[in-house]
Amino acid sequence: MGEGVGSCIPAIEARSVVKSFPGGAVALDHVSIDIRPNEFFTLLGPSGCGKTTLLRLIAGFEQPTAGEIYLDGERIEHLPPFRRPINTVFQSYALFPHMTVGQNIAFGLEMQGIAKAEIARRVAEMLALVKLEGFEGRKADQMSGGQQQRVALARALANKPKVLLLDEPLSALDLKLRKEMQFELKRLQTETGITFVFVTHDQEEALTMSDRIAVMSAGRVLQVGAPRDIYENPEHRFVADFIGETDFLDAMVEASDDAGVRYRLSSGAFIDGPPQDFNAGASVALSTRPERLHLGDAAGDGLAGTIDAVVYFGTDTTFHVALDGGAGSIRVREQNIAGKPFPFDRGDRVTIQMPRAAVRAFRDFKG
Amino acid sequence: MSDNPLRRFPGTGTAALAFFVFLYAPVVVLIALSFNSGRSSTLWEGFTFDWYGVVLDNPDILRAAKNSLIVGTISTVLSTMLATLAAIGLDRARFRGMNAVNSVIALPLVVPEIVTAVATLIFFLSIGLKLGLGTVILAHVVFCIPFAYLPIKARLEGMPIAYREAAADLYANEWQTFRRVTLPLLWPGVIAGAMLAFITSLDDFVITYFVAGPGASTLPIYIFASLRMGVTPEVNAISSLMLVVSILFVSVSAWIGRRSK
Ligand SMILES: Nc1ncnc2c1ncn2[C@@H]1O[C@H](COP(=O)(O)OP(=O)(O)O)[C@@H](O)[C@H]1O
Ligand SMILES: [Mg+2]
Repeated sequence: MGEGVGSCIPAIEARSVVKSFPGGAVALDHVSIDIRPNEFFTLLGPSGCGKTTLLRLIAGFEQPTAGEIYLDGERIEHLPPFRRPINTVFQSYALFPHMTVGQNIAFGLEMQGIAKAEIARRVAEMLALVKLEGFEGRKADQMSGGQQQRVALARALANKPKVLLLDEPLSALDLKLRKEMQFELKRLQTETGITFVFVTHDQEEALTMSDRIAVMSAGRVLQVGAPRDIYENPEHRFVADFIGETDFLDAMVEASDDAGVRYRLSSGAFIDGPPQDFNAGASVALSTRPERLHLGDAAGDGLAGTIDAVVYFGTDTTFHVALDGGAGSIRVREQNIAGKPFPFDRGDRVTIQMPRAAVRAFRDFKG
Repeated sequence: MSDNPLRRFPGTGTAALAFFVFLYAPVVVLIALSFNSGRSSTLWEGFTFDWYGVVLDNPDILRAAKNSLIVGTISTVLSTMLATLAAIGLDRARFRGMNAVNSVIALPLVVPEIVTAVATLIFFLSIGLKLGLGTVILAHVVFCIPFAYLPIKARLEGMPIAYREAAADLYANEWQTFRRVTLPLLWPGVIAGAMLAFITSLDDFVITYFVAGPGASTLPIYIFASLRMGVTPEVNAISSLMLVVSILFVSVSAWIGRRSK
């Protein structure tokens, strides 16, 4: 992810893409993104935010209302899907029910007029790639969900597309299979070197699999970045809220300078954070992540509160703390150490230690 | 099944029984009489296949059967093709008046047949068409279209658009998508539509009676004409044969429909 990578021609570029549907729904509102060659790029956002629509525009099933889409620097909006060197793994798999697995995988190659012998070779290669040797003669409905998923992948990858689009391909699988396929997908992407554009509403899936993530909400792209970037430096309240666990507290900016920002909670308590671009008096939403905070006893330094609930998770324990003065409620997560119970319980008075770097504020409006 | 409240009404069973008796008893009697060795339609005189032999030896009947077959086949092929094109053309179309178009296609199902018959006859005469087998075929193609259209449309509506998108995604142009994906998946609907069109054509009396010229009699017309000489075992035999053909077609169409669910 060096500077050099960013400067080459994007595999896919969307420029100010707008898509509105008859009836008034605006599915995409001036979306601009660059997807780099060979990267695992994820569109992440809640249901209805426009992920599928963006994918369908790239595939060519829909036309943008305005804006441009480029593939390797060439405009493609005017091309029908069958003229775009892009393939799709559909959410429903959409395997042709009247064809065998082998015929499904061969379909795209046949349509491109590739020679029979080469098709046979590629089909065998693909079956090996997705570990389905021997399934060539089966019909799609004689396969399990996970196997159908692999066939759909093989059918798309057989064409060696420049870009592979995957619309929530794992959402229909059960948890164990999903974890397995996450790993498989990542392996396939690395092995083939094909640019993957992956759609999911599952933030954990996005964080673990992606080179970069675009977080979407209500038809807009809010932030694009590496998983770590998105997690640690969310630029919008929505992004902070959607990814990982976050608690918000209403606060006012008491003072702000190059050294840092001092916030005042509604209870009058102060919290210090790193420098951010705020004017004194601004009303903000202060965000914290449970795993960045620590608990101390009532005599300690930090925000005072009372433990509301204790939730045991095996590897760690989450404490829900109601802050004094009705300033709000935040969670603190502590690692569990074998054989050593935590010294706090429900109803205990505690203080929360909040490192400056764990504090981040957003202008107080949603989105 | 058994918790159907209708079952608890007194007389439901009797009514159902009466319904089936009225509907099917005449058909059963007709079939039985076609094997009656006497000419009487009331007296059983013994079992015979003779009437079927008589039917197959009668040149008038054979000519009528041949006409029925020609009309049925041609109008089935043409109406099914037109219905398929209409279904695909109207699929996912969203334009003003689309409902109107759909209604117009299905209209022949509700217009009284006698009205269509008279109107078609007047139309043919006014444009100077000579009545004959050609006019019968023309009329049959038209009234068979809605029968072929409905199962095809139902099948198409049940087919996820993702299959066609997947084909396009895999480099198939519109024609290849139609040939390799849409049509094979639509096929059971097309077959069901064709079967319906065929038996509708085979069975039609009113319109055919109006627009058939001399020498263009189909089986129903022949049967009607021969009734003037009274109900003969011969007529029973032809009717039984037509019944067998119809049942065969409906069963095959239902079987194809079920198998491809
Ligand atoms: N064909 C369509 N007609 C009208 N509205 C649509 C259509 N497709 C999507 N939308 C709307 O566009 C928005 C985005 O949908 P979609 O891209 O499917 O979201 P996502 O995949 O993120 O769940 C939704 O509000 C949806 O209702
Ligand atoms: Mg979607």
